[in-house]
Amino acid sequence: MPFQMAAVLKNIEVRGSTMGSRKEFADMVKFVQQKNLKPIVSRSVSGGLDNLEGIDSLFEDMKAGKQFGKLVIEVSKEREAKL
Amino acid sequence: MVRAISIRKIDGKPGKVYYPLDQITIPDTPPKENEVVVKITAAALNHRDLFLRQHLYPGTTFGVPLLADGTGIVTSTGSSPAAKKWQGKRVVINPGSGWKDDPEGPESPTGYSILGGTKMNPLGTLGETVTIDAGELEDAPAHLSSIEAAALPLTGLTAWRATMVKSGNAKPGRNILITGIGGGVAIMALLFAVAAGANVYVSSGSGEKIERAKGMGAKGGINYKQKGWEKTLKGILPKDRQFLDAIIDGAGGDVVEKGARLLKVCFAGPCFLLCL
Repeated sequence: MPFQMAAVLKNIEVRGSTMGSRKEFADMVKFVQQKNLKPIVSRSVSGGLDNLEGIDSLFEDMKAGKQFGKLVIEVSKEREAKL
Repeated sequence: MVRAISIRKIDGKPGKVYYPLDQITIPDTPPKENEVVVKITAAALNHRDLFLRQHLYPGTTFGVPLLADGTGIVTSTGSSPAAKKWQGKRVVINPGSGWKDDPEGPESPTGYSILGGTKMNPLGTLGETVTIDAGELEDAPAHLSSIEAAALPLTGLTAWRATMVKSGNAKPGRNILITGIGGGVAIMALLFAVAAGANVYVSSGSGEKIERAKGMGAKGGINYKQKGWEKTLKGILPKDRQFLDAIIDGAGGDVVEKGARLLKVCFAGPCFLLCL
């Protein structure tokens, strides 16, 4: 990424950022709860850990840059997990 | 034994190889005092997982469950009160460990390690269960399905720190450009910045993705494939604030170079270009 003199004269700061702290994770989840925000799911597959073909197809979506939002695997049904 | 999915080693050079998925089993160890067993209901992909299959991600390894994002239900716990209180709860898992609360970065001398598919962390969410320290859990927001809750942790956390913490501009009246809308982090950044009251603009190579972003509260968008997009962007900024306060960029390219020209002159107050 070229960083030009014009950007320096404007006092522009470039900061890298990835992931976050345990505290930031808690703050984020709280905000999502308070503001009723919903992450966008592009596509999900069911069939759990046996559906390798389905899981592979999600990787294909990502490779092609086709997705709008997240690619999710349903590993088990919630009502069964509670048993 | 616990069933899980990892990548399997085949011959090939990093960047050329594409490791196949592999069904594995790992030992079922009972939770230690402060640990819980989460029965996974849903897990989600991130770009790092594609890079792992291409051997382009640091610490790529085999036989470790893939994926960092997961949600599930706590089915058993260790003996400590901090672990026991999670019994039966619906939870989301912190996607990394080794970083408590230092605003500058991870405190752990061994570094920060993300869940899924690397030598640095034995855990991953693409399996029947994950046994993890009780301190890494949060209640899953009640309004989210398990599939939606699995979509939250990693991109939510990255977008939160970049947009809400570091940019300093997620507030009413500020203009924020989010590039590469469609990716998980960019979409979460859009949701957070709109909820915080900022004017959010997006860029993409796809008109359809720009329209979807507008439906989620973006004020406008530009297609970076069109020449002179930086002028188009200036034209849709509010008349009384003809500059950007921050750019949240996970896409790179000339969006950063040209968009930076629209960042305000900044002698006081923050104006950031955050590259994810």
